[in-house]
Amino acid sequence: MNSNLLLQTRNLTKSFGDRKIINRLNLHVMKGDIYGFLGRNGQGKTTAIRLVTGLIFPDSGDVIIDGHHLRNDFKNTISNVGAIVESPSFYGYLSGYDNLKLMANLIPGIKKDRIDEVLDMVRLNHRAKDKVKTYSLGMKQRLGIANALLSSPKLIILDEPTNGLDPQGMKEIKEMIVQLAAERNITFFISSHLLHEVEQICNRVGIIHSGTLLCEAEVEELTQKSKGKSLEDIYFDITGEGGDLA
Amino acid sequence: MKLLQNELYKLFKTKKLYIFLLILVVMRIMAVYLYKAGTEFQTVIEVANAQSLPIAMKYDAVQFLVIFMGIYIADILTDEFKTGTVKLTLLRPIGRAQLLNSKFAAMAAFAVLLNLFLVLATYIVGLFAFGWGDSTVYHGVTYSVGDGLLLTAKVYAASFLPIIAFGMICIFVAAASKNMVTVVAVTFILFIVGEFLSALSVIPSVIRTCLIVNQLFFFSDYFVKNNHHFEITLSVVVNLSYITVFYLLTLVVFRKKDVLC
Repeated sequence: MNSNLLLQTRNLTKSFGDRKIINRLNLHVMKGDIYGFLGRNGQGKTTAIRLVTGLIFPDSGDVIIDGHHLRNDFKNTISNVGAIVESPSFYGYLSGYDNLKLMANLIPGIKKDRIDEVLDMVRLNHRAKDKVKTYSLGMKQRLGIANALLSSPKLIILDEPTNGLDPQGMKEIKEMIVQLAAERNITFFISSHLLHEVEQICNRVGIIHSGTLLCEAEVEELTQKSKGKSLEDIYFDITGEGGDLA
Repeated sequence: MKLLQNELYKLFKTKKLYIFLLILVVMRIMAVYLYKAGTEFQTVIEVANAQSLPIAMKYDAVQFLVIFMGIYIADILTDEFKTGTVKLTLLRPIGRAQLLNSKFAAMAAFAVLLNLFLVLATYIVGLFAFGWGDSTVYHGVTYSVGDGLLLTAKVYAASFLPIIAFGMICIFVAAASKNMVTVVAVTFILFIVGEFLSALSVIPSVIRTCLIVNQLFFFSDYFVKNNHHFEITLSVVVNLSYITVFYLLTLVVFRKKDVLC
């Protein structure tokens, strides 16, 4: 096994009823990657993330994170992961700080000042004592990232992290991801349907279409091979589609 | 233990708990008010003194406790799956069985809290309305103050077992349901149907005894007199069976439940 491999899925398959949502998915995320998981809405991105984080169970296949198999070693596997799946959900009647305090309570050996540390990283200290129900979507996303950072994970999985944000909010989240990856050596796995965003911050991409991974490569390698085409054009070439990705 | 701490922290931070407690107090005040207004036939109060009040009114709040349990359990289980807050816990190194155990413990703690509060609130309301009194009277028997307090404690302590058994059934319904309203409605319907069945004399009495509604109403009564060993043994077995069977069923559902929020 490649020692640089942090997340790997092997022939991951999932159906709901008769409909196969994920079909023999083989992902490879290397340590230090900011990996963009690309696909139109409804192609299986969120389902794949739910499978990778153990929120739903595969029909077949395996998820391996940092050498641990999710199926038979859930606790050790998930200890290496921080994630926002679908949208950041918190207890609205509690403050951001209290929400993190509850989660910190579940992490063995966590430092007392870790909550302040992660709030500082996502620049949310000034509103930490306010109830989450008063937060904007962007603030909830940042709180979600703070929650994902709590256990100092090797891998952070973000499902459409800029969805619904205004341009300023999108910019802030993207900057935060790049900064955390560089400064804290965290690997990111980000799903998105925003090609330009992925091109800006990701070094590797995987393209999923109808539950099947069509391509997985370095962004640079892809653009070089296609003689300077944008990631958007490459995406449409690969999927055989045209038009708006969203 | 940490999970239970979290559940209790959330419980005390929600407004629902305080609304439930307020409703229980208002109910007690209303019962006392009816009695004082000369309509004592509408109440279960036998003797107007504070020390007799909690034991006389112990069945009065069962319907409310059942609904509150349904709402609370729907809140900590079904709603967490629906709103996605369950992901906060499930994305930590926490097994699903551990999570279920914490919900079960939280339900039990909630039941204990409501019952303790109910006894205390009833004593206080009775004290203000009638004064403490010289003795406890229950079902026409007079007890000394000490014996009366002991009997009240025994009866309320005994009532926890069927309440927890009923709570376990609610947990199963909550784990299998997709929204809170379904859980509360099913819980209430179970209760009403149970009450109806327990009143049907065509059903053999031993079967009626096994109904959870019967257990909720009558289990603690077996502890008032000393000659109910068979009923107590049967009821303990019945309640523990409810807890065990519905715990195992919930575990099966819980372990396979997809988090799609």
